[in-house]
Amino acid sequence: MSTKAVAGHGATIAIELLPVGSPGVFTVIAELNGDISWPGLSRSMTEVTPHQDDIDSYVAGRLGRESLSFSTNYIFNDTTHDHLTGLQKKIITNELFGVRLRGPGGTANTDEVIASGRVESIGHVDPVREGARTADVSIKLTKGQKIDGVQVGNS
Amino acid sequence: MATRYLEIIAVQRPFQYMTDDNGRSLFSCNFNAVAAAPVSAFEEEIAKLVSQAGGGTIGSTLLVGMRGKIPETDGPITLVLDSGGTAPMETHDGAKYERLSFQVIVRSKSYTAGRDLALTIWRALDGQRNVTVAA
Repeated sequence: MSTKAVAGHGATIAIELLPVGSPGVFTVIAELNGDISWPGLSRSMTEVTPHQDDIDSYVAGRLGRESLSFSTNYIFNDTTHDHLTGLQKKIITNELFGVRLRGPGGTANTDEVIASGRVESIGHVDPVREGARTADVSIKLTKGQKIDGVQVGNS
Repeated sequence: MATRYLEIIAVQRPFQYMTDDNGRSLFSCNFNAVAAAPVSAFEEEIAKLVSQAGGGTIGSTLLVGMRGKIPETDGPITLVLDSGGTAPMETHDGAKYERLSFQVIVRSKSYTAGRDLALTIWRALDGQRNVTVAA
């Protein structure tokens, strides 16, 4: 019996801090502290069953992606979190930037997704009694992406 | 090596839970703490905070861990014990935060002196946040 499962700990999300000045240079977002929901792929299905058929039929819509959502320990002056180059800056300026996801132990073109996207929400919480400052982030991917170096989608 | 504590939080107010064979009242208070890993000299660092709060002199009236017989004086004598904590928190990029816990026990022939010292320590430690301590 094969046993191929791997632990999820160690996945990374990296972003282009300067997508115009230094495109392709990715910096790992600091202290991701929770489960990372990779942008799942989906297609809407439209039923096209003719009246004379006795079983249902569907056509698939275009490929779509769910938002990339994650949480971090919030570090107000970290370059990947702050309002100068980090995620806060990107939502303030509506910046389009590169996003790179890698699974645990992932390397270039191996267990890797590279796409472009925009921050659609970011907010942080300061607990009054117990717990560290944390932030929840959502990034909406847009246009084509690469999975392990293979182009998916052309726009 | 210094440790950065994100927080030190009391679980309850100090309370008397027994008297020992020498008729001294024992007051206990439990605390939880979170600190950036690695934490090595945990009890000693907490004892330093206790000492700074007026909770005794380390090595004579303020002791760390179970290391033999408690002096049979009237006290107060304060003891800091590591009580195990829980599993650490991790981030995907390798940062680790230890979730610690400890117990402070004040032992005193005088009930009021023991209670008052336990309250002093409790008030000083509870709510310590973002403090760096070196043993």
